Amino acid sequence: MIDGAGTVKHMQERLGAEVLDARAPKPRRAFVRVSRGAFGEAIRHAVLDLEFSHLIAITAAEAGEEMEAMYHLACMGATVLTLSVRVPKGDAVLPDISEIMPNAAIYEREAEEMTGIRFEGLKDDSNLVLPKGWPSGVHPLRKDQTYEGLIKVRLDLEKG
Amino acid sequence: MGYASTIKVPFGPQHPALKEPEHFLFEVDGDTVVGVTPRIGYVHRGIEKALELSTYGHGIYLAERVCGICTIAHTCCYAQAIEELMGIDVPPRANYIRMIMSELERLHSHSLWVGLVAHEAGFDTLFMYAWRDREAILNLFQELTGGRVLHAINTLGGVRRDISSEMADRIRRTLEHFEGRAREYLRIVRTEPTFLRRTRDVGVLKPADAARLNAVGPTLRASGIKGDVRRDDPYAAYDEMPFNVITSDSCDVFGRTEVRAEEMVESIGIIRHALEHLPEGVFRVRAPRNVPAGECVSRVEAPRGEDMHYARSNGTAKPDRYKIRAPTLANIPALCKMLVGIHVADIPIILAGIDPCFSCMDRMVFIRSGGATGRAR
Repeated sequence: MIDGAGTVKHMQERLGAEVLDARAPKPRRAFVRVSRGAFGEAIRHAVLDLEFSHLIAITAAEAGEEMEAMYHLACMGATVLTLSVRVPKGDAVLPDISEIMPNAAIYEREAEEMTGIRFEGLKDDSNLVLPKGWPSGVHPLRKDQTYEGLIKVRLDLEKG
Repeated sequence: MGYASTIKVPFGPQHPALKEPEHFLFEVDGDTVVGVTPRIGYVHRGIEKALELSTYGHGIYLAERVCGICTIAHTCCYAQAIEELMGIDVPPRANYIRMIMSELERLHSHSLWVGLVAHEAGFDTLFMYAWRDREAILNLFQELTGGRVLHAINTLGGVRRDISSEMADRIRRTLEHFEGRAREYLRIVRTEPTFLRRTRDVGVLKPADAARLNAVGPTLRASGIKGDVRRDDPYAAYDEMPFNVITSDSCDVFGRTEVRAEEMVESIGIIRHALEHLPEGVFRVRAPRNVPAGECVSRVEAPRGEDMHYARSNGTAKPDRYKIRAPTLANIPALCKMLVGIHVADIPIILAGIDPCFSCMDRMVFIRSGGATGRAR
């Protein structure tokens, strides 16, 4: 079984300068950030070659002027690789990875609704978690959305 | 054979077979399900957003309220994540107490579930026995922590309450009784012909599908795959505990029942071993208010399977991003696979088979109450 440091080494060997940040703070943890252009190759390499075949979740977050998607992948249930990629807020689009990870769609849909990153190729992009009729463009987990503002959206929705 | 066209049957969000609100749109051809579309989010409460707006100390109370059944799993996962970011080591005694509490939680959750699946199978006697016996564990929680449902036992830096030697004896006595009951459930589910006919070959999930769709917990293990965070990625002091990861090759609702019933016996063994080897010393260390910038992934094996929390700190007293992925969400793709091709009458028992906890799964939508004050209901 591959450990955190081994994962970082393999990813760096394969992707070279496309790995923008990589560290293994614990034996069973690795965090690797890759450039947008290399994301497809990085996730394929992790899933198909390094056997990180268990997608635990996708965390989407704001990172300054960019949006970040973090794919938490586990190898043999043990080592967890967090593979992340950043995209500018104005062009926050990433490919859907359902083809190599059949369970990715639910996490992608959740991330899309909550943060506004769009996953190109999603077969069903209807609301999965937000209520019916929720205004498009209001993404609750964006930093500019306040709790009070979101409650107002919800109240307006109920009023119709 | 076959109808000219299929019809769509909505199931939930309010439905007698669902204990919590969720919606499934079934496409049926006669009595056979040919497609299913899940719709979640009915009990989203904005917890991830609320965590970003709360201090780390406050966050543990929010984590406690993600779910009423796996409350210890979530607080344990939260505390582990924040302690790692803070760079503090939890005293060994606290780790043992966390583990004892987690296994007691597994006992009460699994016995609740055995009751529910028996109920869905039309076997209400077992349902009532299981829920009656579960009371003993809830009473233990009350004595140990003051709360039967929410326990507030975990805190940043350790646990809030110690386990005295008198309490340890009381836990041992309760377990002695409970072990007999757990073995009795195991005997019943393995031998009762009506239960076997109702659960065998129902809700089949082949090992290849369980792995491909990333199922977790007893749902995964009942498909013959030995995946358990306690063994694969040990936390607290699980690496010092002797226990077996229970699996079943039957890949159906029967297998899921058998795995959970056997896991109860294993949990009892873990608690006994932990009580026997409970380290001396403090059970809590002081946690700082601010957390240095960093990120971490924390995992625990909740009663329903792998629970993951991701935390990113920015050097302030509040997290920059906090993500929670509860096991039920991970099991939804596998559940949809199990539900296709089945008879409509099997829907409730298959749904119950993954031990769904929709409150856990949903975290983030905003419910109105209190008018302008916007207080959570």
